[in-house]
Amino acid sequence: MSPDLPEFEVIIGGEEAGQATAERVEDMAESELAGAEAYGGWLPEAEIIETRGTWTEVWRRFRKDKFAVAGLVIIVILIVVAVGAPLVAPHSPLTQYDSGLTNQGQPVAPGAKFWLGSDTLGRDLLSRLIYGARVSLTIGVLANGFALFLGVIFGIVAGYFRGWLETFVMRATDVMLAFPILLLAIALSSAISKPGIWVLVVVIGIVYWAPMTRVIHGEVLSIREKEFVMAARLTGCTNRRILTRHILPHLVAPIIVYTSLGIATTVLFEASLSYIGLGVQPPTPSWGQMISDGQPYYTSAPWLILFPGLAIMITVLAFNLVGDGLRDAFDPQQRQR
Amino acid sequence: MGRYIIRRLLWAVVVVLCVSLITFLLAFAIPADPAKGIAGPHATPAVLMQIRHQLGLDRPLYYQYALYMWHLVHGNLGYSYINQLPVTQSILQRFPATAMIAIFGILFELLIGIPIGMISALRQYSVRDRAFTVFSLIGVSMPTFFLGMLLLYFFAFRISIFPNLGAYQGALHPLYFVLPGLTLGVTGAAWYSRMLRSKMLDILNADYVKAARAKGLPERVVVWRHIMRNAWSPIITLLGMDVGWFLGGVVVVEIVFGIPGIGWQAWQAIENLDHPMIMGTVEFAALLVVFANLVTDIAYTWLDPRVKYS
Repeated sequence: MSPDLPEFEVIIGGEEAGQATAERVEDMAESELAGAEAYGGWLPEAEIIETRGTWTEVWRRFRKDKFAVAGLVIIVILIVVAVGAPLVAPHSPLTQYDSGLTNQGQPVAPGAKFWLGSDTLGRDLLSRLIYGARVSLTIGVLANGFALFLGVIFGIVAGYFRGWLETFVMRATDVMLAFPILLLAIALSSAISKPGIWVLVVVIGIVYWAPMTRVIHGEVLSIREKEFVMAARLTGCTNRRILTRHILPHLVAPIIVYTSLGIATTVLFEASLSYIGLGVQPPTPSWGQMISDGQPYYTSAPWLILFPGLAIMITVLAFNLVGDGLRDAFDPQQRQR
Repeated sequence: MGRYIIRRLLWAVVVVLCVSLITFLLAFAIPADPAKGIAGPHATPAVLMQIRHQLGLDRPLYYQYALYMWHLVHGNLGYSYINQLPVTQSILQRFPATAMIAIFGILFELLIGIPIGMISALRQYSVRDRAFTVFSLIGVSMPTFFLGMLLLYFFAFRISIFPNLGAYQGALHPLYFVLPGLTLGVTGAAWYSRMLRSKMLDILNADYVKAARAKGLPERVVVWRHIMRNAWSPIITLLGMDVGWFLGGVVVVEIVFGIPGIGWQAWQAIENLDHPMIMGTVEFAALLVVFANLVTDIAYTWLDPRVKYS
């Protein structure tokens, strides 16, 4: 900070005066930063301090939210388990154990050998759940990343350049949102080929670009009217510079929030698709498919549905918790919890 | 107002047209021959040719689409490849079951979502608010098919209040539709309560609410006349989306409960490469969504004169 900041250790007028001083200091800091921006980021020190401050502050607020931290812990555990599946899983997910079926050919209930029971073919349910995490997380992350990538590009183009481009993009989202999304995904995946991980990523990305575009479009619309964008334009910044240096940084917060919230949605959607039988093909385990396989046994072997269901629910919940926590941390004024 | 509605109607027609075009292209992009599906795997090439000719599949794509749209404008959605019945008839036949699920679904959403949202907002940070917040988060994170199976297990198998899986034979008895409706309702209610809570929290600190309290109005009047009157907008939005979406057939719920409605039919049609049925069901669902959105927007301006149409 600059050395000519006023010292304000004496606060005579009580709280209000103190607040006024603080506001004045804030004003100064802001005008200083605006100066740095106007010089094209010429004052590197000021920028670095500001950046670090924001992230530390966000992290500090995020940490206070117990739900969000719990969500983050769950996500970390899930990732570790998924990556280290061969080390963590007690059995092979594909081996059909003789001891995995009762004499009547029924699945074995949870016990000493099969902690969460066995499935209809005598495979270990826990190991299949652990390997299933790989499919869910991979598709969830990649599909959402794809949708968000499309959403950011279309949203920026529509929101910043306006005109016929905006009309075209936003009308296209209207059409997309009128589609029954699950049917669209079913038709798409039958049209492309046998479902594999990449096909699912593309299909889910295509289905979800429209809502993402809407979100980013709204954000860009509000940013582009701000004074600093006008100032940048007045100083003769090119469109590219305004977009990358002035608008994109303000989109970082919503992009991070929707990374988390979006993964929750895509994991859920992938589970629905694989429940219908359009997920990754057997024998690769996926949670949704495990539930549909277990459905005929829901009275005699309820664990076949309970555990995969809980796995999906907890995963989605964790990403929702983190997403909510991030949103509140980035924007404390909108804090709702 | 009149011009606004006309413009919106025209736009709705365009959206439905676009949906039909995309569906049409998608149905044809599926790399399999419907003629083979009809004639079986051992059909001779001559028979296949003949079937394709009968169905008009040997014509150019644009011709087929134009012909389809021509029939559509005349209210004819074509005939199913599988059972040769008119698509319109099949849709109308399946619609009551889907509608029953939708009605129960919406009912439960409102009955669960609105009170929870209101209590949470009015008693912010209380134990109840926190409990409801957790409930909503779980509801939002719950796969519908998992919740459906849980409800079946507890309320059809363990305690036999509702009919078990596989009992549905096509009768429209309300008992069959309570659990499917509840499944949609609980997961949907979570969104209603979250949105309503945050909207109400915005309003609670508004000057007009303070003024209402300050002049000593009873709390009941403050809540219903001053807060709720201004907090309905997220409810209307969600309601509009859900009505269109549910009536178009919620595939997963229909599959879980073994109730063959519109969604189930569309899903089957895609599996069977039944082009006219795919087109018909998707068009039908899109039409409902677009129409519901239209009604929502008009309802907005009607309920709140401050909202301007652009």
